[in-house]
Parts: sequence; structure tokens; C-alpha cells
Amino acid sequence: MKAYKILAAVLILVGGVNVACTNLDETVYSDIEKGDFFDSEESLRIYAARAYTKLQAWGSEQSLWTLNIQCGDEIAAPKNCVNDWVDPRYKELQQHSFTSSNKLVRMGWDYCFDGIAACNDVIYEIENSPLEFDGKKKVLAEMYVLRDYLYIHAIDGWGNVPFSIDASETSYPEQKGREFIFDFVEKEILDNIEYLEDVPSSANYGRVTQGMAYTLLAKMYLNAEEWIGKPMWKEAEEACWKVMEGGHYVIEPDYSTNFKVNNESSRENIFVIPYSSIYTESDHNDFVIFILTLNQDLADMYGIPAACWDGFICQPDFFHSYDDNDLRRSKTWLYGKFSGKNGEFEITPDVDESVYDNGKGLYEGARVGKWEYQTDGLLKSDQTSMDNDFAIYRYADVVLMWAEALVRQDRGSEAIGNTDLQQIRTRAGLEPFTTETLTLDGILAERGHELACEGWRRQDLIRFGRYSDTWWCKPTESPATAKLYPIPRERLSANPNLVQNPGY
Amino acid sequence: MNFKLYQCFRLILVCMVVLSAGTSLAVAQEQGTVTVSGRIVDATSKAPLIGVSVVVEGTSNGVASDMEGNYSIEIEGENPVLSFSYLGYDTQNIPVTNRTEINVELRENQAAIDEVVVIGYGKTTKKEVTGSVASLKSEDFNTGSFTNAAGMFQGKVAGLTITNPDGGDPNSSFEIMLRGTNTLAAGQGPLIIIDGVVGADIRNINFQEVESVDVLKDGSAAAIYGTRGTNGVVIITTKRAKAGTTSVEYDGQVSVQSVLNRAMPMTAKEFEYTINNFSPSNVGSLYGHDTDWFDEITRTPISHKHSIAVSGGSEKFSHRTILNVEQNQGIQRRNNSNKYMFKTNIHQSVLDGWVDLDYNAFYTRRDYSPANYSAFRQAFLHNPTEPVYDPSNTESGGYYRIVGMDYYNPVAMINERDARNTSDDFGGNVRATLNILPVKGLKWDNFFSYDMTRYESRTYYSHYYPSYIGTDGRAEIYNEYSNDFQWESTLNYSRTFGKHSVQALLGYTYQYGMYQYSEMVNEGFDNDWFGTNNIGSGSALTQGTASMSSYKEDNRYIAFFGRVMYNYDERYLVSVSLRRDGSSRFGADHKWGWFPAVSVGWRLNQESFLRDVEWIDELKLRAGFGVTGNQDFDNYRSLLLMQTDGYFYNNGKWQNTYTPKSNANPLLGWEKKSEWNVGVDFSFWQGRLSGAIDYYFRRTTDLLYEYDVPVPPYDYNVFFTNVGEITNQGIEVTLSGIPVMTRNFRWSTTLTLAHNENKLVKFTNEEFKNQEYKIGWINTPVGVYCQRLIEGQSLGAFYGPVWEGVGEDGRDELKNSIAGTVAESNWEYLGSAYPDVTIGWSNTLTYRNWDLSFTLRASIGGKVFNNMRAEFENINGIGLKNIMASWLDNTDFTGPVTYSSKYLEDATYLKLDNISLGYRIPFKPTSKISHIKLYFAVQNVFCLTGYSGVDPEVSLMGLTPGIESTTYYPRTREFTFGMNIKF
Repeated sequence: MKAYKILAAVLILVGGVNVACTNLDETVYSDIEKGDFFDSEESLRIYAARAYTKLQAWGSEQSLWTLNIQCGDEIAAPKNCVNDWVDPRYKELQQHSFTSSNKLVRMGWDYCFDGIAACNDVIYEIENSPLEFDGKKKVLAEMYVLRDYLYIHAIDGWGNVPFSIDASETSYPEQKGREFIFDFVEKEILDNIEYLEDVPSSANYGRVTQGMAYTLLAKMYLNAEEWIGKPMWKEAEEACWKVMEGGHYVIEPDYSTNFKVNNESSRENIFVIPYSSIYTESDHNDFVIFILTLNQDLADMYGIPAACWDGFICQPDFFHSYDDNDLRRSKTWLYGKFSGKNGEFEITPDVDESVYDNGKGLYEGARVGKWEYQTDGLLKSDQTSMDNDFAIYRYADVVLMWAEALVRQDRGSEAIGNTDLQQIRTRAGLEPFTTETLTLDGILAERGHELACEGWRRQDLIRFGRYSDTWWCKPTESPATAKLYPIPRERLSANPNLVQNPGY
Repeated sequence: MNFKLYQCFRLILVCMVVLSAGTSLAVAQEQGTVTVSGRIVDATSKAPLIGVSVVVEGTSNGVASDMEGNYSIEIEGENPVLSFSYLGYDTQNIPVTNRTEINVELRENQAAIDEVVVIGYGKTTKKEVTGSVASLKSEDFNTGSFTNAAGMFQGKVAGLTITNPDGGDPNSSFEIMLRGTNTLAAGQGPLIIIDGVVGADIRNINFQEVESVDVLKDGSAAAIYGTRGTNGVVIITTKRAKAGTTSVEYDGQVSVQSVLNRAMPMTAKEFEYTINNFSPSNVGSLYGHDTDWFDEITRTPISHKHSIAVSGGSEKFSHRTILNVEQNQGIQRRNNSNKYMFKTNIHQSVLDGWVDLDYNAFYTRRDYSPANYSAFRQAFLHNPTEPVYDPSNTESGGYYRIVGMDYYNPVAMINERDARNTSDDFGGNVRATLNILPVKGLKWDNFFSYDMTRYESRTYYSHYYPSYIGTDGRAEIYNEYSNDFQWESTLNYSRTFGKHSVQALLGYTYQYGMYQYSEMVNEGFDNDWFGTNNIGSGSALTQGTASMSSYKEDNRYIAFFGRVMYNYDERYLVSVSLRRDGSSRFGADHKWGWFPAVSVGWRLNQESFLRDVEWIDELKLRAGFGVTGNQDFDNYRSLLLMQTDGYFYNNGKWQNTYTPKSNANPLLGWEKKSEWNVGVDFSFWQGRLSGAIDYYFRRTTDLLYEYDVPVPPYDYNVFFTNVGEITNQGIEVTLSGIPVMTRNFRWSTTLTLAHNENKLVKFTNEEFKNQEYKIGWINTPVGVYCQRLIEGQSLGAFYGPVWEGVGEDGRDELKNSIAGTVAESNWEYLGSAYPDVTIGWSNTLTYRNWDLSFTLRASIGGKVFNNMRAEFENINGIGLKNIMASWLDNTDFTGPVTYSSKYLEDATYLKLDNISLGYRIPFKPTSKISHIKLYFAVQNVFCLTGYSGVDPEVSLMGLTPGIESTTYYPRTREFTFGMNIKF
């Protein structure tokens, strides 16, 4: 009988323990639960930075930047004979025969909308935080304008895009056209610009400032006729002038200052994406033009240990469009004789069209050399970023936009006296603009040479009505529908509210 | 057999028995002690039984029967009883009662129907089981040498697919899949239980240690494991301590491997011929040497395994200890795997039978050098006219080096990498059973188990490792630590009242698992002196490009469960179980779920109308229904977590940023599977023909998948949530028979057949409306998704253009093509990766002391994508890199590679997995050695298939089955010589 009693006692004890042992809450060790994260002003400030890091996708192999530069007449990626590097994705872009499954189209889209999602999330957290702190309005204003910048890229590329500004609303976003987004963005920038910092400083380097916001507005107004059928040249001129009259930015005496390994000191760069071979090195948030364009001899010459792909070259017609005196040609492209590790070699800028499909030789085609290549041996792999910061907005661009807006209003002569404008010409080793040369054609050519490889050629060609033209390895004129990219297949299928752009 | 001859033979034998009996009698009288002798034969065939153990009960006095079945034993004492026992036969205890001659006819175990079957948290007998359970004993296993115990039951269980996608790699894992793919995103492997430890690692046991394997296949059987039962449960029982005289057993094996099949690139001669004749623009890629890169990185591997086991003891205290050492070589140079295992099991009965204690402890150490898979790829595509070495190239360390994208010297890849991984597993558990003697049949079981694993991987790439040239050496150290604690408490009651038999179970289980890792990587070493032993000395650390990381996670399962099994007269059987299961992985309000099951059985042979039909031993109809779940996915998926993201440049400094880790889903819940199973078990003519036939229908709902969502409003493009529904239905047939059984010869055979149909019924709801997902990305030059997930269709469905041959322009001609391409919207269904039928056929033939066994496995139907051909059977790829030799058989094809049905081939195959021949050396019963068995086995003997690639048996797990990998470890054939000695 005693055994029964012991047994009963043990059973009761174990029963009690069992009830206690039904707790299944999770303990998190290596991440932070969101509820615990937003406990201080500092964490909100840090959190806002995450939206900026989304911009680092700009310079990677498949990105909005590589997408945009491949669609113009400046750069091409023919088949590479030595490395078997052939990528049908690039041919689609070269010939404007876009498909909705093209990875660059998708990565370009994601650059915009990953960033917008991050901005929405940050805005939601800050707006809903009970914490009040100095500069809360400024942080919010930066996020609004950063989101606006991304929406403008989105309507530039795709025209009709999903519109979502509230992170707590998880139903499928509606698709909106350019006009709606344009108006929304314009209002949001104008509402918030006063809270932004007006003087560029090392503290706001890489962040949204008033200079950045006015440049964004200028780009919108300049393209308004193309995008929403409403010429806004006057507004474009004024927005540019806002940047110019402040006097915070200058045309650097040396063109290359803006693209150096250590280009933080450039006073011409308005809005930059800081890159670092240490901190931004991973897939899809790096700046890797060295991988895309250099051949092995050039890489060896710079002491770059990574295996380069020998891909992007300058289109020969674009190469020859430079004036022979134009210093920017040799500051943008690598060509001619070099003395490498294994002796001398020569890069020839003339490339026959037949190589596009059949394969180009190791030394054919001028290479991108605009961003100074570092020789410290740190560029080790295809996921290591260069240290050069990428200037999205540059003062020279603003000045050229201002001049264009004036020419569009038949007031080109007012620009002739502007020293900043003429300094762009003279530092390139060219004659200053005259009323005869400051024409629309002259401006398109000037923008092409000044801003080569910086990602604006596609937009410029569209605005100047030259995007459908034929050019090197683009034998047929593209249809008007090619001015918009297709909505990427995966993104289209994820949102039933989206309708594919016409022509796809 | 000639009947007369047989009679004659029998007569001679009888005479011999009589003679020998007479002699023994004489001897016995002479010595004054009693000598009993006689002959032991099989009751049915009357064949003599060799090696039958004859023991005087209650003593250690025993002998064994000889070649003729005769025995002779000296006995003393009062009323002695002789016990005659033999494997596979019923033991007989016969009182001597002053006789000097006792002839015995032993009856074979009344078929297998009384065999013990292990079910979850208990045992039953084969005749009483009502779920679909496959039970394998040691004699059913494949013989030979296995680096993984799963190899032993490959092809043995209908519906259980076991594949080894990495071929001859000694470190490879087997994939185990039961009854089709029942999930989209969660794990597909069955729950493995080894000696009661749930979720144990099969690599920690030696294959020779396995005593039995029981596979719980259907929902009614697996539901007792609730959320982890969907993919079936494999219960492995290792050899246990047993009462008996002390025995020592040694087992040794030596194996050699050779290449069975591999992807063949062009030889240097073929390469030169091809370039000169078909691609003259590439003559610059001819370097004038003749190198067989595959030969350069491979060898003839020799492996050996040894184990020694000691066991013995009494009913009150018994023990078994085994020590196992194995050294396995892979076919790739420097690819090794060594295993050292120690395991002990002690059984103790204390407090006058009130308490049984069963202790287990094991330690497994594995140290191995993993294969360098990309070296195989590089060996394939490397230019065969290049030399291996170039002493003048100091930068590459004397290896010949041409810099190209994804182009590395394979010999340097092998020589210049030093990879050593070690894993230490410690485990201990104790099962304490309180036998509540006053209540007959009631006992309380408590099982405590603790397992701990430490894993370390150290890899050093020297200054000359091809893809790291310029980084000046790279050291990687990775450490993992995990532990697992389990407590299981069950109350069991088992009793028979007249014709009523009841077995009831009530239980609670708690399991805690923890996992953590840390990793460090550094580069930039002055030289290769230190390897990974002075990782801080690399310059990347000070430059800021070294990396470091660590992580920790844990989880818990808790469950309450109960089961009642009842049968009336061993005729009507019913089993009902219910589990309340909880897992920490699910959303706050979805942590707990109910998992019921019910199954019934009707043994027709117990009915009066069949009871007298002699040829029917067993005829049972079964039906069952059960609900199981799947929670095999990462921890913390339901929580809103913040993780560190990229770096942000803030006022001259780079600082961390934080980002949500994923689109959190607080509503995350179970994947629920309900399964119907009906079956029949039968055994006829005293087990000469037996088997089982099962039909099942399983439906998984609330399927988890990474559904596409828009960004914004979400932060990421996919959302892990419960939406879809999948069904699998199929038939499984197992037939076992003994077609021939004579005195000296016996042939036993088992055939298994399985057919499964999979259907993705639904994966849309009001929110997620995308009815089609493209999956199965094939890399460049193909560059497409080759499969689609479509509502209403099977998984593993290949889609693509239909190939119609090669045109005069050397390009592929495709059906419905416009300008050489077929729009994806016009692609056709090209077939399924899943086979129609899988077949396993095992055979054992014994003749006197010889035995021969072999296992054939076949798979009929199904498609496999030949990735190697798509990538390399193409003249455009030649130049610096090599292509497949088989292009020379297809020289009319010169066009670019386009994805089409051209590369999709029939995966039907027939394999002779295993053949072994053994010989048991006969010993006199008085010998110290009780037996020696020698055997010779060959594994992967042949594969008959129309498939032109390496192996049509590719991974069928996951969402994109049937795609051959291009970094394939070659298939090898293995020859093993083994010896088993028992003292």
C-alpha cells in the first residue's frame, strides 16, 4: 500500500511540473524583437539610415544604373570571346527588345520599390513613435524626399507604377500613372523642402539636402513635357537656379575630382551614394564597374586581384562623337597603349558590329575609366565595391539643365554669360558656348560627354526624341512603347492590381 | 529434386544418427555421467539444423549441433531440462527424464506474425498492428559496407525512397522521402528516432549496429508524433544488452572503389581535333599538352572499418559495448572521412522487479576532409591541352594558370586547400521503468536523454589557391554547438482479459533544442606557415576586411498524448490515439494543435469460416485515418525581428543599420496532413508467401510557401504563410516469398512496388491569386526556369519548347517557334520528374554454409533534366574551356543552346545496387569460436538506363526535383571484403 501512496505523490508532482512545462514562448538571441527596438531617439535615427542603404544597390552588376546605361548609345556589352561571357539580357537592352523577365529590369524596379518600402516603414515608425526629439521633422523630410526621388526613377522607367505610402496598409497597392505621381511628389517636396539642410556639410554628406531636392524638382520639370504632356521649362529653370544661386556648389577645376577614389571633397557633387571596399561589399550593394569593364591586363595593371569580366565597352560611334580636343574622352574611357605587367598592349576603340554576337577580342573596345581605379589591391572579388562614391546629382548636370531650360524657352542667350556653364566647356579643353553652339543638339551632345556613364543618357535621349533611333548594334528603330520598361514578371504577378505596360 | 534420392539420403542420415547415438551412450556409461545426444532437424523439411544451441537450463553448460544436426551433451543434476534454440525457430525445452537420446524437430517461428513491431511509444506484434508499418529485421537489410545506415534499407520498404545524390562522397547524406512530396516549403525528411531519441542523427550510428528498422508510414501510425509525423517516422533500434554468456564479436571490412560513371569531357586528342576541324578560330587555345584532369585529382580509394562488441550478463544485469573505427577515402584526393564510435548499453533490473533501468551512452567522433565539388567541375571543363604545372609562374605557385572567369586549375584547388572538419557527438540517456507490480500490466516509464554536438570546420586556402590568388591566403574557422534535451514520461497498461486485450498509453514529452555557431574569416597572411592556427595574423583584420559572425537560437516542443489499442479475440482490432502538440515556432495564438488518429483491423483468418483453412496463416484487413503536421522550418518565423543590415556613412563614419528580418507572419500555423490508408496483410503456406498491399490518400492543407507579395507595402518580396493544398495518393505492394526451400538450399525473396500520384490542388486564396510560379532555374547558357507550379498539376512538372531535331543551319528546331524562339506562353508540358513506379527486389539464396544476396532497384517513368549536356554538349562552349565528348556524336548541332525537350530524358533505370556472397566457416560446438563469416560484396554493380548522363537517380526532394547537378561527384562501384567473428 505504501507503494501506492508514493506513486500517487510522484504522479501529482509530475502533473504539476507538466502544467508549468507548457510554455512555448520563443527566446531570441541574435536579433532584436521589433517591440524592443524602438526604445530611444537614437534607434529611430539609426533606423532611418536603412532607407539610405537601399541606394547602394545602384552600382551593382544588375541595377537601375546598368539598366539605364545599356539602353542608350554610349555603352554595350558584346559577347566576350575569351571568357565565354555572353548574356542575352544585355542584347535585349541594347536593341530595346525588353522582356518582363529581364533581370536588369527587375533589379531596376527593385531599386525603386525596395527603397520606397524602406522609406514608408521608417516614416511609419517615426510618425507613430511617441518620442519627440530635435530634428524629427528633418529626418521625416529626408525620408519623404528620398521616397520622392525613388518614385521619380520609377515613373521615368515604368510610367505606371504601384502607389503605396502607408506601411500599415498591406492590401495590394493601386497602380497610378505618371501625372498622379508627379503631382504627389511635387507637392511633397515643396511641403518638406524647408525642413532640409541647405548648406552641404560632411554631416549631411550622402543625405537628402535642399540642393538635392531642388535638383530632383528640376529633373521632374525638365521631363514634364515628355512624362505628363505639360511643358514646365520655366519651373525647371527656377529649380536649377535655386541650386545655383545658393553658391554652395562649384564646377571643380578638374573634371576627374568628382570621380576619384576619395571624392568626398568634391564641391560639385550634390547627392552621392557613399561606397566602401570594406563596408558596402556584398552582392547587390556595391559599386563594381571595374568587374564589368576591365580586361585582365588592365586589372593586372591596376593591381586588382579580382577576375574581371571584360564586358562593358564604349560604343564606337559614341567614342568618335567627342571633339578631338575634348579632355573628357580620355578621362572617361580607357583606350590606346598601356604598359602592363606582361608588356605593352593596346586597347582599340573601333569595334566591328559583327563581334556583338560572335565575340570580341581581349583588347577591343574602349573601357570605362571615369571612376579612378584604386591600386591598393583591395578589389578582390566581384562583390567587392570600389571606394569611389557615386554622384547621382552633380552641379554640372544642374547647370546644363538650366541652360537647356533656357534654350527651350528661346532664352539661350541668357546662359552664355554664366561662368559655371562656360567652365564646364573650358575645363574639358573646348571653346565656350556661343549662341550658335548652345542649341538643343549642342546641349544633348554636351550632356552626353559631360555625364557619360552616369546614368542619364536614356532619359536625355527620350527627352530629345532620339531614343528610337538606330545606332551601333541597334539596327532597327524601336517602337514608342519601348520608352517604358515592362513591369517585371515576378512583380506583376505579385500584385493583381497591376496592368502591364503597352507593347509587352 | 529426385524424391527417391532424397529418401535414400534420409535413410543414410537416420542410420548415422542411430550409430552416433549408440556411441554416445557407451561413452556416457563409461564415465559415470549422463550423456544425452540426438539429432535436430527442421520440422517441415526434415533437414538437419546446424549450430542449434543446446543448453542445460539454469546452467552455462551448452553445445551446438554439428554439420549433420547431431549434438551430444554431458549432463548432471536432477531433472535436467534441455533447451534447444535456433535463430528463426521456436525454442523447445525438453525434460531429459532419464533418456539418453533426444531427437528434436524444431519448428520455424510461426511466420513473422508474432514478430515485434515497434510503434511510437510502444511495441505491438505484427498480427496486432493496424496502421501501415514496415518492419525490417537484421536479416532483411542490404549487406555490404555503408558509410550511412540508410544505405542498408534502400529499396526495402515500399514507398520509402532513399537516394544518395552525391554519389561516392564518403561524407554524403542520404535523402529519405516517404509517399511523395507533401509540402512546398517545409522539410521533407522523415522523423528519425534512434533508441528512443527523437530527431537523432543517423550518422551517429554504425550500420552494423542496427537491429531493426520500423517505418511508420501512414497518418494513423505517425499521428502519435503530431507535428513531426507528416513525412513518416523511421524508428531505428540498435543492438541491445541481452542476458546470456559473454560473447565477443569482431567485424572488419576493407573496401576499394572504382568509377562507375562520370561526365566525360573531351580528351586532349578529341579537343585538338574538334578545334582544328570545327572551331579553327580557337586554335589559340591549344597548348600542346595532354592532361587528364580527372585523373589528376582522383585516386583509387581504400577504406576499412572495424568494430568489436562485448556483451553478456544475467537477467538482472546485462551489458553491451561496441567500439567502432572506420576510415573511408573518397575518390577525390584528400577527401577522407574517419569515424570513431563508442556505445554502451546497460540493462538493470532492481528492487525485486519493480524498476528496470536501461542506460545508454555514446560518443561519436567524425573527422573528415570534405570533397571540393567545384574541383570536379573545373576538372571537367579545364582545357586538356594545358599542362598541370608551370614552374616559371611564381604567382600561381608553379601551377599552370590562365586567368579566366570561373576557370581554375583543379589540381591547385585540391592541393592548395586544407579542409578539416570534426564533429563530436556525446549522448546519454536513461529509461527508468517503474513496474507497478500490484496492478498487472501497469508501468510508468521515464526517459531522459541529452545529446550534445560540437562541430568545427577549419579551412585554409593557401597563397596559391586559384580563386584566391592575390588575397594571400585565407583562413576560415567555423564552430557549431548544439544540444538537445528530451524528457518523456509515459504510463502504460497492457492486459488481456479472456478474449479482450487492451494496451493503453498516456504520455507527456518535452524537448528542448539549442543551436549556435560562430565564424571567423581572415586573409592576407605573410606566408602559409600557420594555416588556420594563427588566424589573427592576417592583414585583412587590420584592413577591416576580415569577417566574424555568431548566432544562437533555440526551440521547444511539448506534447501530451494518449492511445488505446484494443482487440477482441485477436480478431477485431482497433487503435485510437490523440496528441496535443505544441511548438514554439508558431505564431502566438497558433502554437498548439490536435492530432487524432484511428485505425481498425479485421483478421479474417481468426473467423470460424477461415480458421480451418490450413494454408492461410494470416489475412488481415486494415483501415486507418490520422492527422499529422509539419513544422520543419526555421525558428522565429512568426516574430517581428530586426537584424543588422548594411552600413551607412554618417558624418565620416560607417555605422550599422537595422532592418526587419522578414515579412513577419504572426498568424503562422501548421501544415496539416490528413491521411486515409487501407491495406491488407497476408501470409500463406506457413510464410512461404506473405506480404502487404496498401492504398493511401494524403491531403496536406494550409501549405506553407513563400508567396509573392508586392514591395511596398511589404518589406520583402515573399511572405511565408499558410495557403495551399496538396494531395498524394498511391499504392504500395510488398510481396515476400520463399520459392525454394530444401534441406540445403533456400531462396527467399522480397519484392516492393510503389506508385504515387502527386497533385498541387490549390495554392491560391482570396489574398494570393497567382496560380502559377516558375521555378527550377537552370544556369547559363540555358538561363530559364524549367518547371512550373500550377494549380491542379503535379509538382516537378517540366515545361518548355518541344525539340524537333537539328536544322540544316545547325540550330535546334523547335515546335511553334518564331525566329528560333518559342514564347514562354507557348511552352508545353514536357513531363514529370516523378517516376510512375519504383521497384525494389531483394533476394537471399543460401546453400549449406554459403549465402548469396542481391538487391535490384528500378524506377520506371519520370524525366530528368540533363544539365551537363545543356551546359557542355555544345561547340560554342569550346575554346579555353572543354566541352562534352558526346558532342562528337552530334556534330550537326552547332547552334546556340536553347532550352527545350532535347535535354529532358527518360529517367527509367534498373540498378543492381548490391550483391554479396558469404561463407560461414563451420566450427565444432566445443570450439571457442562460435562462428566466422567471410563475405565479399559489391555495391552499385550496374545501372541499366537510356539516360545519357551520369546517373538518372537524382534528387527528387524539394520543389524542383529531377534536375541533375553539374558539380556531380562521380558514381563509384565499391568492392568490400568482410569478416565477422564471434567468440
